[in-house]
Parts: sequence; C-alpha cells; structure tokens
Amino acid sequence: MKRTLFLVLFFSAALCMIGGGAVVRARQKTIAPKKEVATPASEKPKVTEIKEAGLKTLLAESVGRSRPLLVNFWATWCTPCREEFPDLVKIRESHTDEQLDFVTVSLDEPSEIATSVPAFLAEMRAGRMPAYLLNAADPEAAIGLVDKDWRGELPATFLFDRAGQLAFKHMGRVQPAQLQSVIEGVLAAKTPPAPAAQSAAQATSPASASLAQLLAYDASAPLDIKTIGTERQGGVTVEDITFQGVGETIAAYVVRPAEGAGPFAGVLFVHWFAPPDPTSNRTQYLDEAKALARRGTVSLLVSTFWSDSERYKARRWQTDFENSVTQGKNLRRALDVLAARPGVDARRLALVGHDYGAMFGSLVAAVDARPKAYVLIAGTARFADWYLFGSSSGKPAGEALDAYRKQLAAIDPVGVIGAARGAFFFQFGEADKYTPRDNFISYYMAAPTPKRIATYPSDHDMSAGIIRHDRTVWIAEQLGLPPVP
Amino acid sequence: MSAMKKIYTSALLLAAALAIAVNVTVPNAVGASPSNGAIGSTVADFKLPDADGKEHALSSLKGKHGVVLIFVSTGCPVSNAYNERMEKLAQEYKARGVAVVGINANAAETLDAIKQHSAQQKFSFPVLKDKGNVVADQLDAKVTPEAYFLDASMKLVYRGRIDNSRNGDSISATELRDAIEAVLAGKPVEKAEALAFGCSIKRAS
Repeated sequence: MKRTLFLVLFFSAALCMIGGGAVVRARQKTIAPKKEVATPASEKPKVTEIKEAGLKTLLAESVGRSRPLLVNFWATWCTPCREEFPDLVKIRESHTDEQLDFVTVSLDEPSEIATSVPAFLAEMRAGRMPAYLLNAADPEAAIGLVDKDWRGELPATFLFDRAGQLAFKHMGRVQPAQLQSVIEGVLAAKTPPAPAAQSAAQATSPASASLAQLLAYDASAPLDIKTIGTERQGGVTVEDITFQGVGETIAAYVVRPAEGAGPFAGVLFVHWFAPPDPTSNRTQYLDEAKALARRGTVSLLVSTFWSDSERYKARRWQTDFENSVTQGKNLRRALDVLAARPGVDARRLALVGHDYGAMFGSLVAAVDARPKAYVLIAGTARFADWYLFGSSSGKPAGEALDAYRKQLAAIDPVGVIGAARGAFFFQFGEADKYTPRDNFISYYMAAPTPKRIATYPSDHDMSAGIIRHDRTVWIAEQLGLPPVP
Repeated sequence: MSAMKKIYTSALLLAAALAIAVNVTVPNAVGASPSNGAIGSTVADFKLPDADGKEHALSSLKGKHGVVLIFVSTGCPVSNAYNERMEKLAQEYKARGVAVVGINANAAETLDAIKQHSAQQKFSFPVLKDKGNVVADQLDAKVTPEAYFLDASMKLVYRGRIDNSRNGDSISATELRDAIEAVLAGKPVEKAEALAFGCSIKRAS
C-alpha cells in the first residue's frame, strides 16, 4: 500500500515539474596551478620603503581592481605578528596570484629595511608577498588612511574587495579559518560592474544597492563556538553546539562524517515554523543531514527566532523589520561557522530552507555569495503574509500598515531574490494551506536562473520520501557528491 | 506554519494591492557605539593593585589638576622606548599638580615582572595591574603605550600617543604635553586624540 502511494507520488511529482530555467550543473571551480614560490633563505626578499602617500596609493589601487587585496601590518618587534606570520604565508600559498593580492607593511624602524625585516621575511619564506616598510612622519595620518576604527595596534589585517571596499578587518592575531572563509566569500562575490554601469544601476534600484549594507555584519566578531555534546551514530557524528550571533547565543547541530578529514561539502539547514509540531526547530532536518553526511557533507542546523514559539508570539510588529534583518545576519554568521568547520570546502556550500527558512534563505542569497545552491521549500513571497498573524502588540492599521509593508518590502523574498546568485530548486506542495500556489509561483518567477521548480501532492510539511529524495539528489548534483541512487 | 495562516488569502490580496513599494527607507544598521573612552566623558573612580599588591583608588593618586593614565607593557619595545620619556613626564608634572600612573593590562605580564621592570627603569610613578583588563576595556585602550589624560574633575580630555616618534629622535608633535599644558593654562585641549602604532594589549581570554 505504502509503495503504491509512493509510486503515485513519484509520477505526479514528475508530471508537476515546471521547467523554468535549465538546471545547470554548478560550475566546478578549479584552482589554477600554483606558481613556484620557494624563496631560498639566503636570498633576502626586497622591502620597499613607503611614506603616507605611498600607502595611500597602495590602498587607492585596490579600487576597481581585478582581485581583492589583503594587507597585513606588522613589525619584527611585535610578538603576535611574528607568531601569526606562518598562517599568513599559508593563506598566500592557498590562493593564486590571479585570485588575490597580499602585501605586508612593516612598521619597523627604517634603519631595519635591509636587515631584520628582510631576514624575518626570508625565514618565513614570504617572498611571494610584496613587502613594504612604512616610514611615516605622522603615524596617525597613516593609521587614518586605512580604517577609522583602527587604533594602531599590531598586528592588523585588512581585506579589501574588488570594489576597494573594506570587507574584513582584524586587529591582533588572525584566526586562519575565519580569514580563509572571508576570503572565499569575497572571491565568490560577483565582479562589480564597471563604474558607469554601477551608477546607472544604483539610480534605478536604490533598494537593492542598500540591501548589502543593511545585511552587513561584523565578520571579525568572535564566533565563540562551544561544543555542548557530541554523539556518534553509525558513521555520523552529531555535535550540539552554540555560537555567537548578533546579540544572542545561537544553538545549532553540526552533522558530519565521523571519519575522514575532508574535503567535505557544507549545507546550512533553516527549519520551518509549525508549532506545536515537534520538528518546528533545529531538529527538523537531522535525518536528511545524516544522509548527506554519509555522502561527505557537513551540515549546520541552526535555531532561529521562531524556534521557540513563545518567543515568536512575544514579537512586536514594530520590531519585525529589525528582527528580520538580525535573523539574516545570524544566518550569515552561521555560514561563517559552517565554512570554518574542519574539512569543509567553503566553495561547495548550499542552503536548504523551509517555510520561514526558505524566505530567510532568499535574503542570504541576495547578499552572500558563498552558498552556490539553494533549496527553497514552501515559503511565501512576503514576510507580512505571515508576520501579521501573530504578534503580542496586535497588528498595524491604516497608514502604519502601509509603512510596515513598505519597510518589509526591502527584504521580502519576492523582491530580493532577483539579486541573488547561485542555483535554485523550489519545492512546493499543491495542498499547502498557508502558501497559495500563485504566491509561490510569483516567488519562483522572480528568482534568477539556473532554477528549477517541482510541485508535489503534499501539504505544507513537505516531508514525504519523494520530496526529500528529490532535494537530496539535486544537492548531490550541485555540490559534486556521489550520485544518489 | 500553524493554523494562524488560515485567513491568509485575504491578507494576500491586500498585500498585492499594497505591494508597489519603492523608496524604502532603511534605518541605520549600525548601532551607536558605547561611549567607552569617549573624549568629554567622566571616568568613574576605580581601584587597582600596584606590583606589591597594595590597592590604590584612582582618586587617591590623582594630582590637583588631573592625572595621566598610561597603558604600559614590560615587554613591548614601543612601550619600552618611552620609559625615559614617561619618567621625565612624571617628574616634571608632579610639581605642577598632574600625576602619572602606569597601568599594565597585559594578561601575560605578572606582578613580579612589573615590579622588576619598574625597579630597572627607576620609575617614580606607580604601575598598577589591571587584572582581567577591566579598566582597559572601560577606556577602550588597545595599545601600549597609550595615554589618557583626565582633568581635575576626572573628565577625559586627551587620549592617544605620548608623541609622534617611537624612538624619540624625530619628535615633531607632543600631543600629550600639549593637552596637559592647555589644561594647566585653563585653555581647551586643541587635539584631544592622536593615534600611534603600538603593541596590542594582550587581553585575558
């Protein structure tokens, strides 16, 4: 009986496929062969003296450049600088010259330009990083050129993206995994349009220009990952962890292969809101994550502001917008956590979101280039569709309602997904009571290609075997996992 | 979603009708930073032990016209390059009613190391131990050496470098002295902040 039902489900699913855009296999990025980098210890690297003007030129050249620029300020007298140097050299070695520019700026005395500075660089085999020594008449002016929040402490590391925008900064010794993850993020970002095209785009779409700014988060704040417990089940390890989100500690599960060092793909799962259903929290996708772990994937299953239905009910509509923006930032922090898990290949990340999870997944897709594939399941086109049904402060009315919707429109799935990048798989149940079909289709239509949609004879829970199977097959294709039979 | 969404369809129609929203105003996503170490703020009195373990209240160390707090290190070459200049400053301004107090907030530098260092350098001013970098956090101190000048009413009137030359051979700006002189002359401090490269304060983790 069960088998017959599944067969029926399978055929109807097959018939319901709507081909919107071609399913394009995600591009497998290949790393160009590394250049020969060994610097004989006897050959001292050249260190170039620069003054404030030289530093200014160095930084100005990062505007509209073909690749991101990483700058490390250090000195031979600075112990943490010396300690972190081997990590920096490794980071240089893991990227080609075509991908990333990486320069070092020493704050040693100018008299040491031919002695201790090149000697240390030679010892570190840092010959591949252009080395400068800043001889600033006014240190303050030099510090001010780089970043207004920098108070001159060493070491200090700054990453500028292709547009010359400061994408990351860290004072003190860097955490290599965190820096690698941020570099991957910047490398994955689309090349910005030429300045003329960019200003034209901004003129017509002020909202999209500000979205990245709105969802900007402090990637340098410590993630403070704590492991609460670990359980091994079969060939899979489930870790119960917490990490630091924006203003709150976030609980999550990490589901990973029990053996091996990777490289692993990574999937971020964002659960649905369905109280009192016991899966209305980070447990929802544990089974699917375990199945993926057996195919070489590390998954992160995060808690959200709707994980606790009491917290959800205690919301006030006046803060829905702000709260949603914070949730978006917290998912970006979750990507930082995922990318930094041991063995995770930050170039093979995907996001699976159901219900609110799909809607916030769209928001992430619009601003964060790291996930290359998204499974978006039964979300609605606009946050106000659902937010207005439960809030401790009642509902806005009249002009306040207008303003409420207008404000949320800046982050609504249907509005932001057009700016997203990646491959998209939409799943929808024809018997969904909460998401009307047309609403979902409008959301799907707004998404960029490559995209695909499948509808099923399912209600909102979307947990039938065939629906799960479909997304697992698609994720395996996108992330280059062993094919699912 | 739960049963809350049942009356959803009518809401959707309304949403569609109102959906043409442009020119969205986006509130500033960056929150206001706390006023830690802000110029013009009053620094609350605190107590810290010296290298002998004796507790001192800041209010008891303060001179008639104010106090200069300098975050120092026993091992940082930049801080050490300023040892003589700090001692000179302490002696010179003691008579004029401004005290100098060193603060060591580096987690790895022990009371013994501080005691030995002060003796070697013949510091006449006390160096207090800021265990757990509580005061450094309160004042947002990041590097050594970094100076904070509080006037007679404990109001922060200058923070930053002692002068612009690490090794002391090309001093062309003396912001800390300028600030002290301004306060002693009853004038406003012209430059209330000046940055310099230094060793980051190694905080307790």
